Amino acid sequence: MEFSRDAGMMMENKRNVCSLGESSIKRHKSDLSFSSKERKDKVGERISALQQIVSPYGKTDTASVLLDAMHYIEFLHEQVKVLSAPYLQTVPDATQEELEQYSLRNRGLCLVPMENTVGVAQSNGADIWAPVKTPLSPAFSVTSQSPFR
Amino acid sequence: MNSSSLLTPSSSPSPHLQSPATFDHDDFLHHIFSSTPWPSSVLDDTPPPTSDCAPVTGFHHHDADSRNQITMIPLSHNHPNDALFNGFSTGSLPFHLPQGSGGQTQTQSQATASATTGGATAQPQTKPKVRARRGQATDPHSIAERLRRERIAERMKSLQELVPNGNKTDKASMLDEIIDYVKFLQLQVKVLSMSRLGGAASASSQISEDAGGSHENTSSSGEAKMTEHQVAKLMEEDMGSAMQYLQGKGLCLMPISLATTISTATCPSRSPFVKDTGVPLSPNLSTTIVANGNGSSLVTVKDAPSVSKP
Repeated sequence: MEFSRDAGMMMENKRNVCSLGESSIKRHKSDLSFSSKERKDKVGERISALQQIVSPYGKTDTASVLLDAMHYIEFLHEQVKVLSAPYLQTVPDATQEELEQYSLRNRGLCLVPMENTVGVAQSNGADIWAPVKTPLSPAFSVTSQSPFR
Repeated sequence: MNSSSLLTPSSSPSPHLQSPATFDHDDFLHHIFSSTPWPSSVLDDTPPPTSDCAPVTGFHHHDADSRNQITMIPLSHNHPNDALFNGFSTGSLPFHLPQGSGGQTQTQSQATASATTGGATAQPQTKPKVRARRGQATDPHSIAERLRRERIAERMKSLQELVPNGNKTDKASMLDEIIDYVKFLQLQVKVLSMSRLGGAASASSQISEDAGGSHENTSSSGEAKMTEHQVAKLMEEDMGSAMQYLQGKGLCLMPISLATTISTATCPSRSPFVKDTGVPLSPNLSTTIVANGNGSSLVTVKDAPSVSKP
């Protein structure tokens, strides 16, 4: 009788082990599905955001958005190169020091923190350049500056 | 006396018969004497040995010994019965033990059977997984999906090369980096474009700078100079690398003329920005030099270094 009872206990233990394995497998599957769903949602949101910046009226599938992003970044690099070319061309050959040769200030460029640049970029360029054209009369410049601000 | 008389007849027949056999019998008798039930049997059998001692013949003596043994057994029914029962009970333990071992073997066989059944159940579970994982699906939908994933992976790698901090492996983080970099480049292009729009005002800017020539030149920190040096060098080699470097530093490339215009525009009205206006004072002087250079006059170019020297 004792041995038969022990056998029954062994069987119960094995059944418990099997059930634990099954539950662990289920949890693993559920974790995978949950994480995969979250990842898909995150990636989808980011693809949409990138599309809005790169090609708002272009195709919406992931491969097309990535391709447009590649082309757009290369285009922006070319734009920066073209817009900065006039400053780079004015290299003072008279100075022989390498440090001065590679300095930005001799070329009319400077580095500004992006925080200060965002406000400038958001505003209309014409508003910034207008006061400079009328520096002769201080009173007029003051009156002209007030409506812009 | 009885005991001594018993001992003497045992010693007397020994020379007559074989000594080793008799010695063995004596040893056996000693063992019997050592056992506990023997004294009680001796006490009970006191009168019969005397009657047996009357015939002194050896043969009779042997018969007497056998008779004693035979008589002893029935006389001590209780003790031998107990001994037999004890023997059976002690014997039952080993009998049960093999039964127990038999039970263990049965449990082991059941365990092996359940293990085999478990294996059988596991096998069909693994087989479809193996097929699904290893098998290269050939239906057109699966092939198209595979090509789509490969295309996306290739383009993601190409974008990693264009973007700073491209070493991230998480797709979501990689996309965040791409978005931030595109926004930075758009900002940079806009700032440089504004300076282009203001190109016509360069003359007026020169006039204002000549008026402000009296401003003192503030020396910038060595670290800033090194950063400017690095940016200028990178712009000569590769614009992409320069832009990535600037975004990493949190800086934006801006023409000095634009910075000067902004500082002059904000200087008269807002006093809190005096510190900010102090920063672009040094660019004024460099702008003056550059403006002289832009004048396209050789004499002015020669004058510029002479001014910079002192």
